[in-house]
Amino acid sequence: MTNFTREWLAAEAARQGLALDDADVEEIFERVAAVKQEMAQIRPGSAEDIEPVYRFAVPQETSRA
Amino acid sequence: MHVELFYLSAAELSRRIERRAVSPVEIVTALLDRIARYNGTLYSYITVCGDAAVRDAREAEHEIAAGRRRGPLHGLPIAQKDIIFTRGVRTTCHSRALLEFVPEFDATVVGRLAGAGTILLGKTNTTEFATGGTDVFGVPVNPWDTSRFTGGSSAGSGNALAAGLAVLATGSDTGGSIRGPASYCGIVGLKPTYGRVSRHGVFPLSWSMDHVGPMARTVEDCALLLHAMAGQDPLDPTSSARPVPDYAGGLDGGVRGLRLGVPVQFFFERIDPDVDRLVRAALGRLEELGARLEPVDLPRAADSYPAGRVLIASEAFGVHAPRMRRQCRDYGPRARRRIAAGAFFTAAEYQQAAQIRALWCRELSQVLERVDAVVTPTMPTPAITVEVQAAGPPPDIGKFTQPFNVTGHPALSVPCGFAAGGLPVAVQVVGRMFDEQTLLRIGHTYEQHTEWHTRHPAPEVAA
Repeated sequence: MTNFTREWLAAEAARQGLALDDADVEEIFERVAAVKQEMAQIRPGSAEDIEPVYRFAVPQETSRA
Repeated sequence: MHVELFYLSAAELSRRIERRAVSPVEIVTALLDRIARYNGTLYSYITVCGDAAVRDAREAEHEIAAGRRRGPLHGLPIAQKDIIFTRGVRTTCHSRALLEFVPEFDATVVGRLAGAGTILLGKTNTTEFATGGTDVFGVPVNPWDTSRFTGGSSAGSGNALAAGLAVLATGSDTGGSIRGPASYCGIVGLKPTYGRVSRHGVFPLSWSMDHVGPMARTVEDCALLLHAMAGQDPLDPTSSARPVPDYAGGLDGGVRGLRLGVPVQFFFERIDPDVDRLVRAALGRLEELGARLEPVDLPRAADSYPAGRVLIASEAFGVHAPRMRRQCRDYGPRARRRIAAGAFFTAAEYQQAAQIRALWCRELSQVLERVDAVVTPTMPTPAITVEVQAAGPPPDIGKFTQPFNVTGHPALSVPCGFAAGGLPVAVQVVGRMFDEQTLLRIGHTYEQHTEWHTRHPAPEVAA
């Protein structure tokens, strides 16, 4: 992935079909960048023995809004 | 002491219905009068089911009179959060994107509560899709001080209960949306264990962190409501087959000998001084009542907060992506930005969040092998102002509640006093998986030895 920038975010939003305006892009960028920075500071030192729990279940047919 | 009908507990109303001292029609009518008077100020309800509620109350009255009382909730009105599907009754999620949506089926909790004899009073206000703003149907304000917010997202359920516009209500909680409004509004809210209550028919925000639970003015009322809501549901593959205990029947055990963990890190850091003082006073009261307080180490709690934000955002985008591509501008700016944010985290970050979840869950479960429950503040401050909410609430507002959505452990919020300015403050009690019973017992014991739950706001004054 390229560096996380406003320009990349705006282009990726367009690629995903999201009609975001400049104010949306600015606020989302600030929000996501802050969380990414926090996540970068707490990367586990080892991935051994921390396999996330997965539950596999058969989804039911339901009607949604 | 005389208590108005609309401020009586559900348990007390139930006893009065049983001995024919009050009728369901009287209760529903009293609440509808109260709603007519205050909903224009408090914005508790998006939809009020007036005529249908009176009709259903009359039917309940006839059934009970004929000796067909179904149980303690029969004839009691319930307010359902407006992200919970109600067949034939508009369910907007407070969004322009769903303004005209009328579900063709009931959510499982709605069906269960109807089966227990409750009467649908109306659909309560929520932040948009349980994450955004309140741009369409008004800002639910706090009846203790109408310049303050109720907390989100189960905002209308919180302020309706506090102001006597509801007796029982439902909420959903993905990062604190039951417990936050409960704390800010001075009522009781329980986020059950993940899998305890079916999520079927509740508009999802984050599949792995969404919980549905009871909100009420007393712990006993939450216990009664949880009993009716809980249980396995074939339509929710994550719901548990564990038997549902008689929660209300187990409230009276007291707290003598129970070990309560008090976190050394994180949960008492950077909080309002009144919150610190009142929560520690609550711990002192529980100790006087026989509980043993033990310091506990939970260093990974802080890490779980950004991890939870990645999980919620990513899953919320997964839920909303198709609709957002079609109707992006029908979402309010807050919901649009929060949900769309999930499109920009990487798979590596989502996996890291899942790993942190595993580590944090293990750490908390190990602590809960040593102690019976962990006690923290519910919220770091009393209710924020409406202006702060409108500008975007502080990013750490859910830092004490969301960690337990990440793990799925049950957590109960109980009022524990009032800060300067008369705003409610609450204590959070977190327990072992599927051990709601112990949390309710602790909360009930505390409630029976304090008088916070007997105080009510004066919305006519605040307004």
